[in-house]
Amino acid sequence: MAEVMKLPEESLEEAVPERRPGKERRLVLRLLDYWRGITGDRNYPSLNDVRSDDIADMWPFCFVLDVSENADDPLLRYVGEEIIECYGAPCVNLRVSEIRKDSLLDVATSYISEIQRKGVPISYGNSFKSDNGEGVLCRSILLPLSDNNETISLILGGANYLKNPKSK
Amino acid sequence: MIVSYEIHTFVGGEWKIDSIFDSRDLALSEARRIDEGKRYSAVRVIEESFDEGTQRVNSRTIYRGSKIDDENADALERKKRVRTEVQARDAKKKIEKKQAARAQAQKTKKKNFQGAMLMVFLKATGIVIFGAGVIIGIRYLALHF
Repeated sequence: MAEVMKLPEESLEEAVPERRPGKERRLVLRLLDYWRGITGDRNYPSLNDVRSDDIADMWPFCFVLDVSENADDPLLRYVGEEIIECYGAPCVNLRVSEIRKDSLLDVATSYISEIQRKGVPISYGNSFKSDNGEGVLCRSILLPLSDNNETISLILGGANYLKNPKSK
Repeated sequence: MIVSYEIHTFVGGEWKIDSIFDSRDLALSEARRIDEGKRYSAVRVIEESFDEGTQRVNSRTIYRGSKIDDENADALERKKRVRTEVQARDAKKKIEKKQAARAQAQKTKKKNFQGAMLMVFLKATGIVIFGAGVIIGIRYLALHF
């Protein structure tokens, strides 16, 4: 696995508060922008509105959680290949409770209850130590999806990370 | 201390939570982006600090969309204009009232002067008539007695 993942360092949270001219590069803001676009005037978009081709560069960093059957312990219906690579094992169809601790998926799904409670996109940054003791800095976003525009039935997640942030 | 940043948008006459971040920079970037769009009339970012020791939450607004500032400036300008108009109207009314009072006073003064003159004339006429009567009376008495 590469020491620094494919997304550039600028994709993670930056210290520059000014809005930079040009195209937004940060994954969470780009994904949020896409979510806003497909939401339109509704409360939530549905999974059918999400077209992986439209977000081909971000899709490998995405995952979809199904909260319709068990809101307390959602099921991972889709996990992008970059997330799987970081996790180091197959994780599609895992329940959140089955996700390995101190992993990207673990921290990225740690605030599911909050998004279900508040019903709005939430983005948190986090850090954890990987299996080999490496520090990993990550930023994730959870975006609500709904089949009926009222109840959150699925959650679209996106996450990217940076290994050994101090060594950079 | 746990700090989170809530982006609020003004929708249908009320503020609604749009999204939540733990990063000030991301929240501000997103709020600015929303502000540049035309979908929402106003946007703001609220910083919420939760003190675990005291269990207290402190909220403060750290960003207001320029549209809010523009609207506030417009409202302020409108208020100022209305206030100036009202003051001008009040001043005009005051001047008109003063002028009316002065005209009334002059009228009254003129009326009083005319009354006084009439009174003087009547008194003088009375004195003349009385004097003539006295003279005629004295003459009559002198001729007959």
